[in-house]
Order: sequence, then C-alpha cells, then structure tokens
Amino acid sequence: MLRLIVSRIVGLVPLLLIVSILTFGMLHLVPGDVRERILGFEATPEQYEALGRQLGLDQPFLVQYGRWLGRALQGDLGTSYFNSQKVTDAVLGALPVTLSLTFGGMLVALAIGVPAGVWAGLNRGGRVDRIAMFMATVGQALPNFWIAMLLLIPFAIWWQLVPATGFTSPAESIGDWLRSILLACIALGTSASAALARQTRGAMIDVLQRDFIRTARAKGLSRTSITYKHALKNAAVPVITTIGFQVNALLSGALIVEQVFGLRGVGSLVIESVRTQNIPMVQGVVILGTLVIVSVNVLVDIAYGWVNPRVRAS
Amino acid sequence: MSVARFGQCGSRAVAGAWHASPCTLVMLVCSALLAACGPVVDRDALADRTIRFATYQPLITFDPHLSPTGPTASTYLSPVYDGLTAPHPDNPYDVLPALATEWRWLDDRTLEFRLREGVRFVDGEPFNADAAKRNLERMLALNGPRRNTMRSIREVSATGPYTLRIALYDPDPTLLRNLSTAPGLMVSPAAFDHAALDLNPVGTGPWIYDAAASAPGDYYRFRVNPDYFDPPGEDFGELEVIVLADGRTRLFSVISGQADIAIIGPPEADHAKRLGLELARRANRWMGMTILDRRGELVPELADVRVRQALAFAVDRQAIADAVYFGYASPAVQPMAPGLGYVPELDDYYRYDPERARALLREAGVEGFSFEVPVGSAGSPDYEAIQHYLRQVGIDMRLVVMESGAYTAAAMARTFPVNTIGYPNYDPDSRHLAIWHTQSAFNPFRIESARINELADEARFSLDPELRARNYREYFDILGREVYSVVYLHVDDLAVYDDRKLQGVRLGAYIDPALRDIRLRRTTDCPDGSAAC
Amino acid sequence: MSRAATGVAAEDTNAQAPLTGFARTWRAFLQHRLAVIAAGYLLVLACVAIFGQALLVHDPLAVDLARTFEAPSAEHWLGTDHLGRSTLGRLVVATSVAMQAACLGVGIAIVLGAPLGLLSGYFGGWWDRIGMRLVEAIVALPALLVPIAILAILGPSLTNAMIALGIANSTAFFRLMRGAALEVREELYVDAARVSGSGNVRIVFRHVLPNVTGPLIVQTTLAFSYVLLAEAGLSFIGLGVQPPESSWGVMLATAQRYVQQQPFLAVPPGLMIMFTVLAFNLLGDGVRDALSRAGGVVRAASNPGRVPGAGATRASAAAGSVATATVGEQPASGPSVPQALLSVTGLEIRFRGARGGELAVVSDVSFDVPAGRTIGLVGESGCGKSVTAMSILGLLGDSGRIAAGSIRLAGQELVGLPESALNGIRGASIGMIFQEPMTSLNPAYTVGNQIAEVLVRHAGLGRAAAAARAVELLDHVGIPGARQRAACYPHEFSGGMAQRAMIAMAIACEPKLLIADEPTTALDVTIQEQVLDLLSGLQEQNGMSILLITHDLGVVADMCDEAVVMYAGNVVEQGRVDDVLLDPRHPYTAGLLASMPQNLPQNRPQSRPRHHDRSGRLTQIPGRVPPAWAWPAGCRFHPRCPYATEVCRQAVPQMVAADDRRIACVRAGEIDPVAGWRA
Repeated sequence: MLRLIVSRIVGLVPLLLIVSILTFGMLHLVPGDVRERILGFEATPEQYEALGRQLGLDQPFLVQYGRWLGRALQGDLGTSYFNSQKVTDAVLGALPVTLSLTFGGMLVALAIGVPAGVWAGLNRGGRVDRIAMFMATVGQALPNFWIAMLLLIPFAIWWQLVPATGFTSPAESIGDWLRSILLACIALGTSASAALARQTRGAMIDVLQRDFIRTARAKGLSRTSITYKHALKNAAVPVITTIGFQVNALLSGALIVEQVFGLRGVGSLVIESVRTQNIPMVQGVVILGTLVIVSVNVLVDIAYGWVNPRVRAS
Repeated sequence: MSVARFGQCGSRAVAGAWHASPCTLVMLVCSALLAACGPVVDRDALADRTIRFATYQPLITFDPHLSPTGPTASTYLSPVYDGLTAPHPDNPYDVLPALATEWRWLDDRTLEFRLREGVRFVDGEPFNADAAKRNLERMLALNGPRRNTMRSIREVSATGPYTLRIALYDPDPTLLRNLSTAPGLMVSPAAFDHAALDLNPVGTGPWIYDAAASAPGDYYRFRVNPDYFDPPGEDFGELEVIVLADGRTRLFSVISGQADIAIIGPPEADHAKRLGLELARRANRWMGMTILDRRGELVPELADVRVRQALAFAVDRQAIADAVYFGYASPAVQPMAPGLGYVPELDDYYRYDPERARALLREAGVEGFSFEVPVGSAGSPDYEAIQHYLRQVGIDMRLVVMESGAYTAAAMARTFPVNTIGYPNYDPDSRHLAIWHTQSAFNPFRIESARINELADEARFSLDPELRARNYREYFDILGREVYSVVYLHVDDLAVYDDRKLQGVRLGAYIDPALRDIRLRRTTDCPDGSAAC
Repeated sequence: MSRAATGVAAEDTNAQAPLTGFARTWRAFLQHRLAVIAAGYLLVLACVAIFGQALLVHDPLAVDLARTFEAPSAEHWLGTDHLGRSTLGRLVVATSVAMQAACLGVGIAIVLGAPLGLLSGYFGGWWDRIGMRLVEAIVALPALLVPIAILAILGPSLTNAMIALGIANSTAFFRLMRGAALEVREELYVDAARVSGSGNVRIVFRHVLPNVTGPLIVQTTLAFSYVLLAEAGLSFIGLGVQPPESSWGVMLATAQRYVQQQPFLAVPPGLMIMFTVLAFNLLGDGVRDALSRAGGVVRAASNPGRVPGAGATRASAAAGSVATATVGEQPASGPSVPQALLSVTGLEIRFRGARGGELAVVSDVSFDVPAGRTIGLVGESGCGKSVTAMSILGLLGDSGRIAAGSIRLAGQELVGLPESALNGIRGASIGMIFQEPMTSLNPAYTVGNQIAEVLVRHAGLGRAAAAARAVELLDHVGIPGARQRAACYPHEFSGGMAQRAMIAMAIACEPKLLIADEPTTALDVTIQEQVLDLLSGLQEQNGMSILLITHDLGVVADMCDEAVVMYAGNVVEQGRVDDVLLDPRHPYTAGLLASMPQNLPQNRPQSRPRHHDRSGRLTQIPGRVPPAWAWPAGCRFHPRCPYATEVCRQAVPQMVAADDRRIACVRAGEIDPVAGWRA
C-alpha cells in the first residue's frame, strides 16, 4: 500500500512539471506589455525599465521559469501585480471556502447519488429505476448555479433559514459554518449526485451480472449479504473513479456557485484576477487548484486500492 | 439472467430501508441540519461594537502616495490616514482642519499651515513639519497616479517644528481640497521604505489596520486607535470592511446581519426600500456621454453641433431615472450639480423631444448614422435604454462592452468617438483638466476650445470666488449648448444600513459613506425611543 | 465466445435483416423514443436560432420603460425584463447566441482535437507521447480553470470564451481519435493494407473514420452539453458573453440582479439550458444505444467470453414473440430408478422476450440423479444444459421461469419453493461449481473469507470456526499452504487453484448433490485431469451425487455413470454412459462422438481429447445450434442431420424408451446413426 502511494506521488512529478510550464507560459502569452497594466499610462520609461528588471522580464524564458519554479517549490508563487499581496497567501486564504463547498457538495452527492444508484441498479428496469434515472438525467442537465439561485430565493430570502451570503469559518462556529455553506453544497451536490447515481447504477448492474454474484447466490447467501457484501464493494471500484472526476467538476462548479451566495473563495479571486489580468494570481489559482485535484486523485487511488486488491498488490 | 430477477427480489428486501425517495432524503438532511443549527438569530447589536461595511471594491494599495483617489481611497485610506486638511462632509469645495489646525495664504502663491502638536503615527513616530514636508516630497517624487492634482506645488519647507510652508508655481484654489485626498495623506516617514507599505499602513487615523486579522481582497479589519488625537467618543466602533463583488449579495449581507452598511445599486435599493431598510443617498455623478470626437474624425456626423444636440433631445431622461434607476437618479442636462459651474438656464434647454431631435438631424442633413460606444462590463441597462431612444430618432448607437481596464484605456485613445465614464458632478477645476482641456487624458482627439481653456485657466489660477463662479458659468453654458458632453442624469450613490445599530450615516463625495462619521447607536437612540431595538 | 463466434453471430444477424450499418443504426435509433424527441427538439431549436427572430411579434430590442418586470401575459408570454423587453424575444436571441457559441466551441474542439489525436495515435512515437502528456496535464487541471486561464490571457468575450472552451474540450476528441487510430494501426500490422501500399491518408479514411463515426457523434453531443453549460456558467460570472448581448447565462445573471423585482426572470433561461443540455444528453444516449444495438459497428469485439448460459439468455431475450415449438404432449416419465436423489420430470423453462411473449428454451426434460452417482448432461453450447442446471437451484433470474414439470431433491419438490427455503438448500444440500473459476470468485474478498461465508450461512459456525474450517477445506482439496492461501485474493490464484477453491466452497457443507457446470472447460488440459480426479475422490469420500454439465464426451466417459444428451432444449438420448458412447442411437450423439478427434464409437474413449474447442463448437456437425427463437419445426436437429427426411421436418420426435435407453428420433431404428457421420 505504501508503495502504491509513493509510486502515485512520484508519478505526479512530470505531470506537475508540465502544468507548471503551461501555467508559467501564460504570462508570456498575454498580449501587450504586462508593465503597462501595472504602471498605467502615466509612467516614465525609467519606471518601465525598473519594473521589467524587477519582474525579471529581461532574462531569457528558461531562466525566468527556473527562478519562478524555484520559488514556487518553496511555496512562493509570486506577488499580485497591483499590490504586495502574496499569491500563495491570497489563494490559501480563499481555499477554505471553495474546499468547503467542494467537499460539502461531494458529501451531498454521495448521500443522494450512491443510494439512488444502488437502488436503481437493484431494480433495473423497474419504476424506481426509471424515476431515479429520469431524475438523474434531468439533474445532469441542470446548471448548478441555477439550482443555487432557485434555492436561494425561498430558503435565504423569504424564510431566512440560512444566511444568503457570507462564509463562517468552521473554526469560529461549526453550526454557522454549516449554515453558511449548506445551500451551496446542496446546489452543487444535486448535479453531481446525478452523475454519481448513473455511475453507481451502471456499476451495480454490471457487478450483478458477474459470475461471482451467481456463485454467491448458488451459495444460498441472503440478498442483503449479496447486495452489501458482494456487489457493493465491487461496484465501488468504478464509482470511486467517478468521485475523482466529480471532485474536479465540483471544484469548478464551486467557483461559480460561490458567486450566487457571495462567498469570497477562489472563484471571486480568479474572476477578479481575470478581469484585471492579474496573471500571477491566476497562475497561483491554477497551480494550487491542480494540487488539490491531484491530491484528491491520489486519495482516490488509495481508496481504489482499498476496494480493489488487485491494484493494491501491483 | 438470474441476476435480473434477483434485482426484483432485492428491492423488496431493501425497500424498507429506502422508503424515502432521494428528494425526501435531501429534505430530511436539510431540515436535520437546520434544526441542529437553530434559527438564524440577530446578533446582539449592543455587544457587537464593530461597524461592518460591505463594499464592492477591494483595496488597491495602502500607500496613499501611490493610490488613486476615489472610493477605494476613501474606504481604505481614510480610516488610517489623515491629511493636513479633511474633506468637508457637505460641501465638496470646502475643507476642515485635520493635521493642520489652521492655514493662511501669505500671498496667492504661498500657503502656510499651523500643524497639530502631539500627534504620533501608530508606529510611535512623531508627526511634525518635517514629517509633513517629507511626505509631500515623497508624493511628488513617487509620481503616483494623482500627483497631477498637486502639480502646483513648487517647494515645501518646514518653517518651524509645527509650521509648514508650501510655495506654488501658480495660485491654486483646489490645493486645500486636494490635500485632503489620497496624495495629501501623511505616512510615518519611518515606513517610507517598507516594501509592504501597500498592505501595512502606518498613519495617524482613528483606526489601526489589523493585518493579522484581515484577508486582503476579502475583508479588512481596523481596530480603534486609542491614541487618536481627536478622541471620537464611546460610540465609535471597530471597523470591518467586507468585499462583496455583487450588489445583491451586499444587500443580503445587511439583511442577514453579516454587514451593517453596504453600498448598493438602484435595484437593490428598490428592494431595500420595500423591506423598510434605511438608505443613505447622494447624487455624486453624472451619467451620459462625453463626445471625444467633436471634429468628426471617426464619426463625421458628430462634428455637427445639431447632431450632438439631437442626442440630448432624443432621450426620455425621466423614464430612465424611474425605470432603470428605480427613482434613484434625476434627469439632468449639465455636468455640474447646483454650485460652482451650474447654469440654471440650461435646465430648460434640453427636454425630451424626439421630434426636435429628428428635426435637428434633418437640418444637419443627417439621414441616420451609427457610432460605437464603449460601456463597462457590469451590464449597462441605462445605455441600453438610451440606445433604444436614439434608435427612435434614427441614430444607431452600438454598445461595445469593455473590461474596466480596457474601458478606461479606450477612453484615453482614439478608439471610440465618445466615452461613457460617469464623472463627479462637482469640482469643475478637476473636470476641466481631466476631460475638456486640450491636453486632458480623456481628450484623446486633442480638441482645442480656446474660450473654455481661457475661462478655466483664469478660474483655476484665481483665488477670487466671484471670478471663478462667473467663469465656470460661462464655461458650462458653452459646454452645454455646444454639447461637449451629453448629460442625461445625475445618479445617486446609495448605501443601505441597519439603523438600529448605526447612526450618522451619510455618503461622502465619493461612492462610499463617510466612515469616520458613523457612530454606534445606543439603546436610548432608538428611532422610536424604545429600548427594544 | 471467441472472435470467430462473434463473427458468425454477426453474419446471422445480417442474414436476418439485410440492412446497411447506417440503416440499422438509424432504425435502432428511431426506436429510442426519448432520443427522437430530443433530436426533434434540437431541430426546432436550431430553426428558432436561425429564423426565430423573423417570427417574433415583439422586437427583442424594443425597450418599453413603462412596462418593466411584467409577469407572463397574453401579450408577453414570458413577461418582460428590466427594460420592458419581451423575455421571449430575448430568449430567442439568446438561443441564437447560445447555438452559435456552442457550435463554435464544439467546432474548435473537434478541429483541434480530432486531427491531432488521429495523427498522434496513427504515427505514435514522440509526438504521441508529448501529446498524451499534455492532454493528461490539461485533464488534471480543475475543469473550469482551463477556460478561465485562457480567458485571463485573451480577455473575456464570447469568442474568447468559446476558444477557451474549445481548447479545454478538445482533449476528449484527441483521446477518442487517438484511441481509434491506435486500434486501427495495430490491426493494420497484420492487415495487408499497408503492404499493398495504400497511402496513409487512404488508410485513415478507409479504416479509422468509419469506425469512429459513432463514438464521434456521441462525443459531439456530450461536447455540446459541456459547452452550453460552461458558456452559461462563464457568462453568468461575467467572463463570457457580455451584455447587452444576450445569452442564457447573461439572462440568468440579469435575473439574479433583479430577482427581487421579478423572480420569474430566472425561470425561462434556466429551463432553456436544462432542456437543451438534456436533449443533447438524450440524443447522445440514443445514438450510443443505437450503435451498440445495431450490432456494434464499433467495439463489438471487445466483449470477450460470456458464459454460454448468459449468451443464450440474451439471445432469447432479444427475440420477440416467436411461436414455440414444443416437443411431446405429455411429459414422458423418466427412468424409474427408485433411490433417485434428484428427480427432474417434464421440465419446461420459459423466458420472457424483450417485448412480451414467452419462449420455451427447455422443454420436456426429465432425468434422475441417483444418490452417489454422476450424471452427465451433454450437448453443445446453447442446448439448454446450463439453464436446466440453474433451474434446479431456482436461479433462472427475472425473465425466466419454470413453466412446467417438477424438480425433486430427495423427495422434496423444489419448484415453487419460496426464495428463503431455496436459499437454505443452495450451498447446503446442493453445491455448485462453474466454468470460469476466476470470475466466479469475488475479487474483493479473500478466498478463505468466501469459503467461510458458506459455513457461517449454512453450518451455523462462528466466524473463527468457519475460517479454520475453510483452511481445512482448502487443504482437503489439495491446495498447498492452505493457511496462507486462505488469506489470498482470487487474483493471486491460478485457474486450477481457483477451481479447487470453488470446489472447497461447494462441498463445504457436504452437499448431497454437486452441480458442476463445465468445471474444467476453462482450465489447462493437465489441470483438467487433476480437478476431475479431485471431484471423483471427493465423491468417493462423501458419497455425493454429481450432475456434470459438459460438452466434452471425454469427460463424460471418464466421470459419469449415465449420460443425458440435450439438443436445442430437448433431451435426445439418455442412458448408461457405456451404452450411449459405444452405441449412440441418436444421430446427434453420434455426431458429437464423431467430432472427437481420436475417438470413434468403436473404441470406448479412454481419455479426453487433448485439444478440444473451448467454444463447444464441433467441427463435424455442420452449422451451430440455432437460437431458441429460430428452432425449426419437426425435429429440431433436422437441418443439421445427415439422415433428415421429410418426416423429420414435420413430425415432432417422441421420447421412446428401450432397454434402459431413451431416444427421441423419428427415424430411430431405421438408420445407423454412426455411418452417416463417416461420410
């Protein structure tokens, strides 16, 4: 198991290198002079030159990249174009909101999607299955920010059961934290649960057709044992893979849903940075976002190894 | 094969466990969580001594000498810094004493200040004439974005420990006012070389920025400065500035108690009014179009004054004020609000008269024309409405959406024949230099109007109020009749606030409220006199 | 099933419905009602996008400031917006923008991704490696951050957003085309196309594109969904379409702004997004379904070996209502051996077709399994052997049922027994082992666990006792180091070991009857022998009966006391093994025997053939067992029988008993069934 984890992490190195090159390259793809954006139009040529030196723009690309990478490895992803704010600090400061939504949404998705999928899979072709799959198909077509809007109006505005805006850190108050992210998590989780339900159902149906289920039945095992012991653990294999994708999708969804609830997370940060073309910020978000996704994938791989002994061994 | 049937049996076995549909499950989970959290309670307004202000704009920099002026400066710099003078809350042409207690003109090119004694910056450095001199010199040397407002300063000298003398190239009636804005604010000289001054202000203001408790871009916390030279009293609170990009979100933040006061837009104000929330409003800006291409290089039709007048006649200002601004704007035909540069006769000059507009176009021999107008990205229902009215008289106004950066840049280049920047409706000296002067940044076509330059130059180098009033009246009369800028509305800046908690809320000369004037309400201050609020 | 077998099946289908691939797919697609509706909806939407603005009553740009935020009315069906414009009109404009944007985004994705993927897959090498790394990197990024990062470079606008989404989405097309090209390239190594000097371009067009068209269409519909949703999201947060231009996302952003004034504004654009994305998804599902149903032009070959029983079920389930040809009016009583442990009488098994109707796949099957004896159930794949075996355990599944007959185990009637009672018999009184030991064991649990499970269930042992007993059982079936092996997972076992483990599991509760369904077919020849020896040994020790299902007459000769030969759902011959094998009376039995390489009926088969065909397809009997819905009238064997006459085509043969033998052949006695096969 340890070997699996180590090998997965080592395998990430080239991937992260490519991402870092792509990300760093962004800076050089931006049309126009970066300095103009920072200094405005009234700056003198001397100011331009000084800033160019400060940003290292006078160095060759690889040198610039090397320096940037060196600093990035020490956790320094540079500084905002417009003030001395550290990109790492800004992104890490925004991450709790976004991660709360992402993983909260995932929990909601799991809570709805997996039981619905298992249930539908067990009742393949039945009414329950058709209803569940219809809902899942519709759910997959729903933009999660629209669900968020529709939830916000009654729950937060009419009845004021939850605050319409604002994020409370779980360190301050767990209850307030839950309330501050609840609607967003439900909005995110609903669409993710649709995909999850479909996957789970498919996996369940697939597993139920496998020979070992026939064996289990021929052994006279109870349905409960067959469903929960023999089928579910095997069905979990493809579902866990989906969870990896879903976390990615949820993170993206969270960037938008944040806006509906006025939560200042990575979404607000990156949107603002895109509008002002604050490239270091965007780079930071991309790099740290990738790290999050990649870490989740390592966790998924570990979980995968847990349910699938074949992976664990190799 | 066997499996399918098994499935059916399976469902019977487990149906009990999953009797609820996924939908009901969600509901159950929700209600369980909600029950666990309890109802949303109003925070105890008395226990909470923090004024929480929700704004749309994050800090740009805490270094006043590199900061632009405007709302970000007044929101973030005014809590922590003082200038020699302070803006007058009601009169944009007047100032109040601040770090300078009094001043006098030695001659029309020399101004002497008597400085407040015993003031210390929050880092312990003393404030004195030397510190003030070094600040102004730093500001002039750094060449920040608003240095041009101080360009009349020739030399600054400390004539005593607490007397400061500023020598000018020209008489400057705006200097005292400009000294109260960002470039005139005083930073501890010991902090000049801090690389991180932009996020760690060191001033003398009534609040101290708490960097450790803040998250730049998200929220900023300010503690009360216990050593402030002008103790503000017990009902002065801590300050938290919360950044929320969306106006609706800011309104909700006040409704839900997350913030106590928020800058909002007209649709939110409309909603707030229906909810019975208290609003503060002040008409600070004009809304319209400044015709950049008055020689007709891009759009020949715009060279004809009759065409420009048609633009002014064609639009139903009242309808836009009512429908798009929900009443939080008033029809206007000239840039300046009553005061300096206001021309009462002009008010009747342009009324909504599409026939007149068509007639003017006919006279000018224009059979319909089109031009492009850059608008900001936030969505511009007002310009969409104007577009509609112009189309009625045969003018095709095309909206080109631009990012805020590009938008300002475009207004300074010969890309578009007009710009749609909403300038403040006061301070003609600054507006002239910014918009209509031959060398103005926002006059990219370098259109020269000898008479208005002459009038403005005479006025802005004169300390004689009557001459200034006379000149700017003529200036804006010309500007109005020649339509250098088409003005449609004067627009209210709006803030919604919790009047059970706050009092003394009024908007400043920029979009945001005058934070220093806000006081926490004590129980006895309840609007209805009861102790229950 | 081997590739060859699939090929034959496909030919059969071709013969059945002489349609081109496209027409078949089209027909299958049309059966997919939701997909057809979705396609219709999208067509309407496309028309709206193109012509809609011409049809509008209200100019979508017409501002009416006196009539803002109106609710839906007869004049404005969807109400008005913040400028008094008709929401319907705005929606039509937005639809046009959305469709253009989606086409642009998907177009860019295809144009960028597909050719690069094709080249990458076809030529391989360094470019392929670099391409794949790049694609992996993009996929590892948070999905929405790719377009957002691109927008940071290009600046927000509709076109830029679509370029960004196109780039982000091109990876899917890249991977799809690369996969297809790679497959074709590998096939072409053995193909003559290259040798014969076809140009690369021709190879690509002739071989890759036709294969990939279906998946490409599916992927395109998915891309449309993705781009539409992403465009709405980006526009919603202000990075896509910029107002006053209208798109669904922009309309939602507007609705969000004016939600207090008119909450209804959020409804129409949201529904439009939902319906449109739904339509694309359903269309994609429909196309995918149609492609796989139409015989899988694409990846049919990638579905290897299925158990024969399941294959038969699928075939029968796919068949519509076809008249069933039953044999025998009344069930002939089986040979009356007094101490029969298992007694199957007049068994008829029916399966439900996909669209109603039932089909008998086994009819009038009777045989006994005496205590301590081994009975072989023989025949080719698709004769109903496995179905018969499964029916004994009551494991026919959802679509199958026992329509007639009786199955008695030690006098107890099993037919009609409730699930719970059957569960008490399965694994306890009757053990069962299967053809594929590897797939019959649950990969997620240790072997010991799976054996212990039976003991816990039936023998009432505690977990620890069951685990200990499982080790003993493993030891008993000859697995060395049983203690360690019990803690191993199935994938750590070899095939023979796994089958031993299966046997240990089946005999764990000392069943009276062991059903072995092709227990050695999937194993190597040397292992086969060992497993059969093990079974014989166990039988000697326990005195259990064995019902051995096999197509291998050699196995029957070695193991069985009696043989029951089945063809197309009927028993055709039945008797003592020596009799049946040495003196086959039914042409089918004789044919089976003749197809064994070195065993002619003259010599009693001494050993099993060394190289038999795993698929159970015999070379000497022409053709194959037809699927149940295609069983002919008269004698079901007559199309393949060298002795068939007009009588055989019409008369249904009845089971005739004669000196311990039972034969169902109209011409029994008239012919020498062995001679015909020699010719």
